[in-house]
Amino acid sequence: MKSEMILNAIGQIDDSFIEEAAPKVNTIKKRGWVKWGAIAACAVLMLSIFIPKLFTNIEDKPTPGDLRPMIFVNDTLYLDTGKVYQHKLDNFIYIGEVTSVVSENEEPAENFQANYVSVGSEVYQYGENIIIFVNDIYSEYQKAEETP
Amino acid sequence: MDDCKIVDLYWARSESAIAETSSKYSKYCTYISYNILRNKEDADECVNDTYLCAWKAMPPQRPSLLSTFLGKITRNLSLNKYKHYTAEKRGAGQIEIALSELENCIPSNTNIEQTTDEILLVEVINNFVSALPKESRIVFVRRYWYLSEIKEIAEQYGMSESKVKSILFRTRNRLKLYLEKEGIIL
Repeated sequence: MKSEMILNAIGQIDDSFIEEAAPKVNTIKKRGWVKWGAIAACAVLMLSIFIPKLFTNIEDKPTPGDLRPMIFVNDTLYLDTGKVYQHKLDNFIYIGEVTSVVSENEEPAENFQANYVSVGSEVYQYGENIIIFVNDIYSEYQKAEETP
Repeated sequence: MDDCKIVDLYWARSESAIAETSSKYSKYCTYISYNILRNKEDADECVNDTYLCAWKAMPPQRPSLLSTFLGKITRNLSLNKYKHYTAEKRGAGQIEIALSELENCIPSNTNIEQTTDEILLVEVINNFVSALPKESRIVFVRRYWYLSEIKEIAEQYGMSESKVKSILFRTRNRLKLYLEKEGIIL
């Protein structure tokens, strides 16, 4: 299988990369009392946060979920398609740069606002789509309503 | 004990080499094997086989990094056991998911009949990995070398799971482009 060839080849990469990404294995086997102590501490913390809210009847904001990378441009929300380009194409038209960011769990709502990318990232129009230049690659974004 | 001293014990054919290796690296090797096999007994068996392989390999080998030397043996042994199990429909763990994710990296150029040999593929992937930004490289290696779960990677590096997925998604796309650019045929 072709993907198996890639997995096997990755298995033979330089030792330095394997060492760099090594897991913290000391945390695999925790002593029982440490584990249950941590759970109990978390439970107390959670109760101390949520119980006062139940009694004060404060309207909670929706719990943020995990969102895809997105950008708000031209009064429209665009979502990451996953398609990338290594080089700038001739028909990428520069339209500005990211001027503000929100956290990864928030949806951008102002023009040239994005999550995931940093302020100053270049933004291009590519036909109906948007391109953001980040980490040396051009990532393509599509209108939210057209994205599956 | 220092890795050099452990290696010296192997070279001196001292059986305490195994005990010292187990004391220092059993958790590391078990982690690697368990991610692949998802069975404690099978993982323990692979880790014990790792010590045996290390015993046979040293001498003549004198690894500069004992941890990754052992880790590579464990990974290979565990993948082989996994293949044996999937033949018997007993497989589990992260392998199937990781393999389906890596399907996205397969270059689409099919006009040349000759396939790339493994040594060249390793070299190209090594170059690709070395050129990645550090964060992407660590996430990529954790996922596809250590076969770690996305949730666990996110927890260890303080990221959201969606960010880890996003990094992996983009890195796989970049790898596909890179393999195509390098003329890799699979």
